[in-house]
Amino acid sequence: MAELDTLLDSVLNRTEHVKAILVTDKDGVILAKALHADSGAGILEPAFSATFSVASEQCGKLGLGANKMIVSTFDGDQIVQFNHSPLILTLLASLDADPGVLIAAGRDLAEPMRIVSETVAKTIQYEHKKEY
Amino acid sequence: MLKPKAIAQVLAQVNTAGVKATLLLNPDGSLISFAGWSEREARVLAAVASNVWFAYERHGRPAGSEVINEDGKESLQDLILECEAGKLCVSRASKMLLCLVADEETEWGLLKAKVIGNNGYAFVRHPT
Repeated sequence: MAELDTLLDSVLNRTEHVKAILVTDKDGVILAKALHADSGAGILEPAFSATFSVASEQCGKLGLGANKMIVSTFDGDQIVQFNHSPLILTLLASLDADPGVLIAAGRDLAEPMRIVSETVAKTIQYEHKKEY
Repeated sequence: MLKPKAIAQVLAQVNTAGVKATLLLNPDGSLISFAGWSEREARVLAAVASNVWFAYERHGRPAGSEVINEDGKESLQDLILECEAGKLCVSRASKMLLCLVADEETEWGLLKAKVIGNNGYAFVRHPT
């Protein structure tokens, strides 16, 4: 995970106006993170990652296939979340950031995220088998 | 006073360049008017869009970064969801929600521009 932290840090440093990049599970538990120096500790709260899981699940009922990404724009900031089931990649940025740049930054991380997601999914499966 | 005929006509004008359906709904998910898609599909979409919108409005951003607006509420401006077979854009239109469904080829910027353009109509800005 240290390698993933370093990768997230490099993306954070080269993308303007990004406040934080987080890799969480569907419940919001953080696996890797990169935070801007000015970001408050509240960013690490799990609830908003869990909201993405709920929204993603709801999207499945629309007949448009599985959800891949959600971009939410608030008064002060914008959040881009990618679904790499069972993990979620979140980019939090100020309104000054271009959404296209954020989406491109998230897509740059798609391959490393795929590798980590597959490993996590296998581990979860293995743990479930051990339980039964 | 809302004019149902005029609303349906305006919503139908949005359904170009990959946009398949446009809906205007109340915050509780009840449908006001729609263009494109069947009524059954529109009702399901309205319920889901409202549900996702309010989930994001309440818990969609990290604590400590809330900006409270003049009404004393945090404000979610818009929400864009990308699925495997299409895109969905939800935005606030006065006290209502405006929802656009587009195919996967439609560009994000176009979708956002259509929402902003539609919000500019007087009936959306001043519904009473």
